[in-house]
Amino acid sequence: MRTIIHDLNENNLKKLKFNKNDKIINALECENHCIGCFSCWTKHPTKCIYQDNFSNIASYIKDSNEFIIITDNKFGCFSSSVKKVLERCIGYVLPYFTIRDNMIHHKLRYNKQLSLKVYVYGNINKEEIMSFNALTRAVSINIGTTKYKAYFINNIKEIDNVYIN
Amino acid sequence: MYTLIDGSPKKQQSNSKYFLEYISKHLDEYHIYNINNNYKLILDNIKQSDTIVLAHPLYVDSPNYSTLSLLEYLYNNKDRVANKNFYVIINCGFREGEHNLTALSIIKNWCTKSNVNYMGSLLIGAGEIVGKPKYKLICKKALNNLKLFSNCIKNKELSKDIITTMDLLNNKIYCKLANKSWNKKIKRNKK
Repeated sequence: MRTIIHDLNENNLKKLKFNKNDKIINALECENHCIGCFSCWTKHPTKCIYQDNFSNIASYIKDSNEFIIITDNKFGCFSSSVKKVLERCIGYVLPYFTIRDNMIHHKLRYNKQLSLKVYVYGNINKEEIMSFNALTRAVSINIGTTKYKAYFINNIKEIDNVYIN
Repeated sequence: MYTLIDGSPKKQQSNSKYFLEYISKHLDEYHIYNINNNYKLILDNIKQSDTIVLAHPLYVDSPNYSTLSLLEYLYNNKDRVANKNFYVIINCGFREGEHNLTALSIIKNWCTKSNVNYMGSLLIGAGEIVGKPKYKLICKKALNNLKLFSNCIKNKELSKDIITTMDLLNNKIYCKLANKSWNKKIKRNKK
């Protein structure tokens, strides 16, 4: 199973092939954003305080072997729509701290090696590519995986050439 | 005039707000906005200001959603933010301020693309401790850096990127204390 979070419109989404059991999450449909209450850590582990279609994504990621993010480039970061969903998945890790790669990180809730793929579309300059590579690496350390890669697609029309099913 | 923006989505007193309130004590003319305010209201105030100070937390190794969303809005109105001075404070819960460097690179990219004058940053580790007045005795170094940064803002001078790490505790002890505090919160919520 794969968890795929994206901010594509219908036309671009149609170009991509998905597997039957993929969990596809359209970030453009997410209304509620994280309010930093940490309820998903301290009250109802993994579940967001907002009860909507996006309240349980951490458990989809847990059941996946691949975690795919498809996002518009915004200054070398995820689009705010994708970011809104990602912040509601922090229950995937534990609140507790530990030392990993010589720095403090959150402890892992699950003992698994996910593969993280980030597909970035839209115009992007050198500095933004550097930021995105650093961001992808940082996210991979935080979710405890060594398998990660960021792909850059300048022209959204070519997304189906880069995206690997 | 200064526009101070608290990027935290928290409804109660946030660490970002604490840092901005500290800075505001050194300024004559300013307005503090929370990120939950209407973006147009913030933009209108920016138009009348020459300096913007943004303070935001680190969520998923980058600026939090609300901050990012405001930055996208301001970029879409970049003719009205161009040439303003811009300072940023980023804080995270980890002990080491270096965790904020990826977010800083994103902020710098935004400044370049929006033609905003990037003036410097303060990257705070252990924001949950530094941001609470009750811990100020053990946060002397971080608060000194905040004072230095405030002076740069007051004088509209360039600041270097200042990284603040909670140096009184080592990583091992910091983890132990933080985990104790998380356990307390979890226990409290179970009642």
